[in-house]
Amino acid sequence: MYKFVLKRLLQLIPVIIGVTFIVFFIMNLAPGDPAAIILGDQATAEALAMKREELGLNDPLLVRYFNYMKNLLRGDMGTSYKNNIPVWNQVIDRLPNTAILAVAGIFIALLFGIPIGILSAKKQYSLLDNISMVAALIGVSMPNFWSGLLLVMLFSLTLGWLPSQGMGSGGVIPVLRSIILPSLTLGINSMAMVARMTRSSMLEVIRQDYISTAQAKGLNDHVITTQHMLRNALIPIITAVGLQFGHLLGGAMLAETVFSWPGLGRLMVDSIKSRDIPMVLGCVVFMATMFSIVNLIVDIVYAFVDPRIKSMYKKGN
Amino acid sequence: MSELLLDIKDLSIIYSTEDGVVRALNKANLQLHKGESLGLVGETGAGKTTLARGIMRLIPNPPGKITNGEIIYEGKDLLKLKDKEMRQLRGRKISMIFQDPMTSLNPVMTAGDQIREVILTHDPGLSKKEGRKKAEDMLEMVGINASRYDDYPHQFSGGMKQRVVIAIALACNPTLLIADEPTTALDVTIQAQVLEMIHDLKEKNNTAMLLITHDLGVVAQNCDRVAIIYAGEIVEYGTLRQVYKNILHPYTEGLFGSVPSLDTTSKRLNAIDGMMPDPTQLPKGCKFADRCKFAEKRCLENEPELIERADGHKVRCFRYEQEG
Amino acid sequence: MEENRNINETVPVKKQRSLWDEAWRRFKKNKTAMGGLIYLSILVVVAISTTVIDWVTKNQVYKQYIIKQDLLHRLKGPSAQHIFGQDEFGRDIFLRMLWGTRYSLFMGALAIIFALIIGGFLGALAGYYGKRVDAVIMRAMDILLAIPSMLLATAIVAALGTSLVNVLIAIGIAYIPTFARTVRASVLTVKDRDFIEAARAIGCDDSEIIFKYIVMNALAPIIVQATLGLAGAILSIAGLSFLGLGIQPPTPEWGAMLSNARTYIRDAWHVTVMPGLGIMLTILSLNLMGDGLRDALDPKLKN
Repeated sequence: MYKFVLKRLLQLIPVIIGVTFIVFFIMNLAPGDPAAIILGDQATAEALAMKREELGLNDPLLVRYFNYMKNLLRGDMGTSYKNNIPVWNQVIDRLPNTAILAVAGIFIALLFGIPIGILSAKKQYSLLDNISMVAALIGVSMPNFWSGLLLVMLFSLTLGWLPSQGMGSGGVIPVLRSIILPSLTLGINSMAMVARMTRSSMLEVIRQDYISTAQAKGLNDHVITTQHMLRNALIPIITAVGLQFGHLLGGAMLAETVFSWPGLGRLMVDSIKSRDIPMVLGCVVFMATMFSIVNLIVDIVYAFVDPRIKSMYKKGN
Repeated sequence: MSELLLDIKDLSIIYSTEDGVVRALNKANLQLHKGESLGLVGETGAGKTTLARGIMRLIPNPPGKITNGEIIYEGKDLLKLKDKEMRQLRGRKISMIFQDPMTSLNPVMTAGDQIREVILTHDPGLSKKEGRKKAEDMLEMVGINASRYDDYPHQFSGGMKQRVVIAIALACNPTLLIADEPTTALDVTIQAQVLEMIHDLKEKNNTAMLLITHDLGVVAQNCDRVAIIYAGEIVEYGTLRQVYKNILHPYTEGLFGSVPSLDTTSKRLNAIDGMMPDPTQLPKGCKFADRCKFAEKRCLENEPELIERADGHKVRCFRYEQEG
Repeated sequence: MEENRNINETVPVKKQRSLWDEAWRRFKKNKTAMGGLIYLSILVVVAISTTVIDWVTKNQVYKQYIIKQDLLHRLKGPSAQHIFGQDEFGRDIFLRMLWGTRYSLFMGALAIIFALIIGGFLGALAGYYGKRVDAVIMRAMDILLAIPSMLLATAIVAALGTSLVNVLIAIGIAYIPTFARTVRASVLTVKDRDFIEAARAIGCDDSEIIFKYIVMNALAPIIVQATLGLAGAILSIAGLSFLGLGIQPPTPEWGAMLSNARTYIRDAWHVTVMPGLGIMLTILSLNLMGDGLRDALDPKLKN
């Protein structure tokens, strides 16, 4: 098993290299002279030329990429064009805020999505099933920035229960209060998706022969559902959850904008608007790495749940 | 004759589908005696599995529904039992082996745990450890080393999996074992082994068996009685000797005609022409009429009853009406 | 010989036709999916007719009703005259939404077609040739997939700048790996079937086999994926515009309309609710259709 984890960790390296290269390449397509962005319109031609040399912009793309990666390994992602603060520090500052949101979003998705899916599948075509599946379909179809705005209208403006902007400070309670709406916003799509996945996965499993075997053993319904159905149905759901996490990171930009949440997503949007390329690059590299690591974790969990995969690795395959 | 264990009376089962109501089983009658083996033979889609699942009350509902009949088991009508009482019978008194061993075992549970589960369910007084011991004994009994208790189903071959399934089915010493084509999915060489093992175990414990198959050879080797099922109806029923030596129903005759034989000189097999009627639109008269070479006018109009001849041999055909 | 070849070629095609008929029959039975299809058809009609109106009137209607401000009636709620109310510049929200249909629908469709062509081509190559080609293409796709699609699209727009075409390219690129995977998977499942062997045996060359047989047979999952992908693309366009990185105001794109609405969320609910509802219903009908298509094209999956 250790071997497998190690192997997957090693596989992460080319992915991260590839991701950084693609993003680095895309960002270099950006029109405009970074030196001009830093120094402003009044800068002289010599000053611009010097700045370009300093930033290494005269080197070929591959050399610059190589230098970027070399620096990245030392935790250096360059400095922001906007405020001259190292990108690394700013990104690391914001990272936990986005991570909290994403984890809370996934938590909400699983907490409600899986039970709803199970109930729907067990009572297929019932009123409960129909209502929850219509709700789930609507949930999948709502743009999250819109559901965020609706939540703000309801819970902040109308009812006045929860804050609509920013991250609370001074104790756990204010922080928790401020996190509810953004994480719900982020989680609604995934919740609906998980509910739908769970239902179809359960329905798939319900028809399997081993469920007949379990019934023929005289087991009660509860044992059949939890021990036999759910454990098998979870396997595809785990994969879906990993993918949802990526969806969540993308959605974080929108949710963070709606709620003025001080996370990576908002930092990225702001940086794009001020053409702060190193900062955008830093944000994308970090989020993509986060996503890759989550997928790695998903793969490992997967192997633990599904003995077929586990024994495949034991054989050293 | 030994005591009656199972008496199925006029059992009808339907499935409601988009294409109409499938009349999968139509007033089926069947008797099984203690310790005996009954072979249930018929084509695919004749209602064999439906009948088996019906006895277990495991007809998926919806779309399936038992619309008529009684299943008298040890004097009680199974269809009148509460769900909980039925659950207590399943796995303990009546067990079932499903067709495909490859998919009959839960892939995320060890083989041993799946055996132990049935043991502990019906004997809650046992500790987990005692349960494990018993499950290991069961494994040994079906010829699998107890050390493989912790292996998962995918680590076993098809034949081994079917042994595990059999161990699950027999773990609580049931009085009735329903085996739904237990060997169809296995290699020919393994088939014989598995059947022999089932036979030995059932003899040892005096378990009655309902063996579902489309293989008349298997029936001849393993069963005391035979029932032939066609389009959801039992068309012939009798002891092995009665049915094999004195074929009454034209359909049974057709079935035997399609088995290759070493001691006849015929050049080709006599397959039955035509197909089984669409179960959503069963014909009015005898279901076999349009494939039957003896079909007369009344066969198309009236439904023949199951007639019992003097020796107990039963047949559903007008040709034997007068004698009955 | 020539005759034999024709017989062989017609076999899968004929099978195909009845398969589509059968699928359409099943799809028609599915009321919610049909509802989605009808709603989408209406949207397409709206998108086309507004475009035609603009073209015929040389943008007169557009200038007069869609972007002309009426500051006296800012943020007025729904009324008989303006059924969805008026926005922060007094413009009719309903009309703006009608005019905005084309951005979501056509740009989404173009982005998906772009992704489908490139992704489909790469996937078909990978699936058909296997080995090295497969390894190289699919590793590249894995890397693209390692970047969440919305993030990738945003990064591309950030680099290229915000214009209609760039948004289109950005979203198109983000969906390439999805289609590459779908097509590759379908190709792999049909590749070894007998009729491909037969086609090879009668001397069809590679490109003929790929397009005539494999792509035709892989069409079902691609259609489903394209429908669901279109939903995703429309959401991404709206999202980018909401962030101010997509289509810019005063163009009446739905996401851009919402972006402005945020400022007035305290004063006027309809400015937020209406455009969002428009997006949601569109996505919903696409999802309904996607589900319906999947059930219709692959009855095995239906419960």
